[in-house]
Amino acid sequence: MTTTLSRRTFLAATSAAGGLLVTGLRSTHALAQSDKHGGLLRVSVTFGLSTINPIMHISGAEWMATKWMYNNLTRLGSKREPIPDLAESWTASDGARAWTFKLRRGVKFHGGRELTAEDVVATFTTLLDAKTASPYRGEVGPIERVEAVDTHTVRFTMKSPFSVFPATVAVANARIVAREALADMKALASREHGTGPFKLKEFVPGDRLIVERFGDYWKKGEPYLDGVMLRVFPDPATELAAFKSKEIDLISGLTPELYSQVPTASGAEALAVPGGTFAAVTLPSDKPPFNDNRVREALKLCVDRRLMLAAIHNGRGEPGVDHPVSTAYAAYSPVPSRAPDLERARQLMKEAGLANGVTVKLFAANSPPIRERVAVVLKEMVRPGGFNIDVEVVAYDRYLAQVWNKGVMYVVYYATRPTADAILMKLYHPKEGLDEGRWASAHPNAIKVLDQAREIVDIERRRRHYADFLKVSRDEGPFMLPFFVNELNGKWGYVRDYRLGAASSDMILDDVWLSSEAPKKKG
Amino acid sequence: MARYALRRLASIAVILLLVSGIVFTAIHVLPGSAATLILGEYATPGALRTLERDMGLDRPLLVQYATWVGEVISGDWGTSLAMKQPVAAIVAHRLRNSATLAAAAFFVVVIVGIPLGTLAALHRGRPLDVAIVSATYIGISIPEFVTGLVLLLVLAGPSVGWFPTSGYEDISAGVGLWARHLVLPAATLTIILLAHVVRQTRSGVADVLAAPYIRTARLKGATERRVVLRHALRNGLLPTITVLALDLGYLMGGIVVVEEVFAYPGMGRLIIYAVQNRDVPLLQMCALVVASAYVLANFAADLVYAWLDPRIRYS
Repeated sequence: MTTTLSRRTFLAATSAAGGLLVTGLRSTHALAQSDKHGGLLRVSVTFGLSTINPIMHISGAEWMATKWMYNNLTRLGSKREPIPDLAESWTASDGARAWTFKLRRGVKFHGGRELTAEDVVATFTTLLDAKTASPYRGEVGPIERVEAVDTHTVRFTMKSPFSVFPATVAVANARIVAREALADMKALASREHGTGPFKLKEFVPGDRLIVERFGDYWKKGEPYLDGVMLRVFPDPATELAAFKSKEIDLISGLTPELYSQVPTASGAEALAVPGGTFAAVTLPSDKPPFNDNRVREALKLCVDRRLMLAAIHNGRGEPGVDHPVSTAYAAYSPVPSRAPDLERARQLMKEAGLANGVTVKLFAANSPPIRERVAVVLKEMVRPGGFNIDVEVVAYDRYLAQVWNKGVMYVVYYATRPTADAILMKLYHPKEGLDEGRWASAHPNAIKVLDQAREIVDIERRRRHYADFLKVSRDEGPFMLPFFVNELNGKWGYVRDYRLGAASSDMILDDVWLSSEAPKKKG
Repeated sequence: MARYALRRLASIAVILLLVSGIVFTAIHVLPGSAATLILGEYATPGALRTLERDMGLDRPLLVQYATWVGEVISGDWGTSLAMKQPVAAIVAHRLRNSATLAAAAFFVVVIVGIPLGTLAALHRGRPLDVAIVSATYIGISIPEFVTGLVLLLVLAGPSVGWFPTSGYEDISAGVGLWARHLVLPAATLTIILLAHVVRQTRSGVADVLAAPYIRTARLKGATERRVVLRHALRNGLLPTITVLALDLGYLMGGIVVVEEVFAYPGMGRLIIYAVQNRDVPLLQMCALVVASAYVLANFAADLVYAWLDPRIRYS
């Protein structure tokens, strides 16, 4: 229990006090509190919904949906710290080389069977099996072995110390699946076998998904909602119109343009929370011109991050310092930013022998749209510094096949990860990740800092340790990371107790409820 | 007539085989495969190879194509690579939705367009004619996504709210609910197509009205109603039927935009999805369904032609 006075508790306290003063209001208030049950929450997204197989899915809409039907061992709190989900507690031993999780008792799968340690073992074994070809095999940490100690205890043995394992297993792909269902990966794409607050009722890939309340959920009395419907809108304008007509109660993943339109409807609320999602530009550091750090630095010095954030995302976000750890992460540590300095940039270019400027090609996939916007704004911002950027926008499928991770200059886009470790490893590490900037081989000491951080269990110490890496990344790193965008949602006032986190796709609906002002549903 | 029909059906089979070959070739010219899209920005070379092997994408293209043709002939449409569900079931569901929408639009176009066109022909050059022709022309000049959005914002907005903004409802959820979801997308399609039919009917009927046999009919004392309905319309409609057949093809494939605007799960959106995800079996079946609709509609138009005009006999 936290004892700090938050805005929410303050509001609750004042409204309760107001209720006591006006006796007529008190009874209404009490009634609303006791009657949280019922109702269908309708949520909209604009991106893909192909599969609900938690071991394979890669889109935010899919992560959102499986969060309702499954549980992980842990989930993330408001500071992205691990809090219990299916695991009640966990302990590290052998210098964070082994992790033991105690499972909650009496948890039922939707099929009726009770959850045991064997289900956890089977889920992770399948996830890590090369034959499964899960996209996340490399994103759950260096697991060497997973075993059931008894019916409700699981032990993970790591290849090397891994201090952030409890937060890492909150990642979307580590949902715990009933072991008997894991044999048929194909069926898992359209059927679920989870322990979550809701069970699947209807799934039309690419269009909609409907779940209904699971009566035997392990949190007694929850969920409050009778069901949730997730709908895909290919056109954001239609999505907003549907929201304004109250056919949608909650919009997830708003564009900044639509975000500013949400409050124009009376009773609607626009929510914004700092996140870790960013679009950045790779500066391939193994070949000219960016193998010279002076050129990388010159480019970074040309960019006015606040202006770029304002131009591209209506200012909804926080300026970046050319590293991927935003304030949303538990391991965040502040690194001073640098003001744009064209004079210095030109000086550096001169020193690098590029006084006459340099022409480079920058690829941007057409999805999501922010990639192209970053590329185009960057092109204009760095021109005075002597960079002549030739932007080529490519279709997302071509980008995946021919551009991404091919050692060229392109716009990367990553959503918030569970831990700073996950995104740092992904971007910089040559073995645990992709080394997308082709930078690791020339900076072995920096990479060693990332490896060492995994041994540090104490969060304060880890923060200080990461600070060293983040400074190196700012000064010499292979990415120009201009800003982090806020997570933007829109909802009607009658949707209560919805808490937007640093990742919209972590949508927890266990205790969300609809007040009596919610419209009577037409369908 | 029967032999003619059989010959036409055989040539339709050849057309469909050609279409499938072209689509198959086209999708393999694009870079990447279904495995690239499934793994996205999480791909490792090992995972890519494993998935491509699992889905049979590592075999020579000719073998893949031949296997697919063989399976289709034996009635197995395969499994969607991205959705992991039987292609036949996915397409059947989406086809039903699109066909409902297309049928609704088509029905309105026919019952509104032909009388309007005839009316315009009878009042040629007068204000009513000008009004009809210009109104339909405004309709066709505005792109679907504009018409759709305007209808949506005006008629489905919070202040009016007569219709739902988007989506679909199964007829089992109630006929009223089902129909209300169809109105706006069908109206958008109707507005686009109406101009074709009205223009064609107008000029067809106007031509016929100038023909000597109409004068003869009038001279022998036939009522104006009989002249128009029995003599003029029956002959004047022939070109309209061709237009309608072509429009039907447009409706099957070209409702992509309308389905996107109204978030309506039909064939148009499914085709986009299949291309974006390199889902070859799914795309193949979508292409075949749309191509079949197109050629069968034209075939039907030819048969109706022959029935309306006894002089035409295909041999």
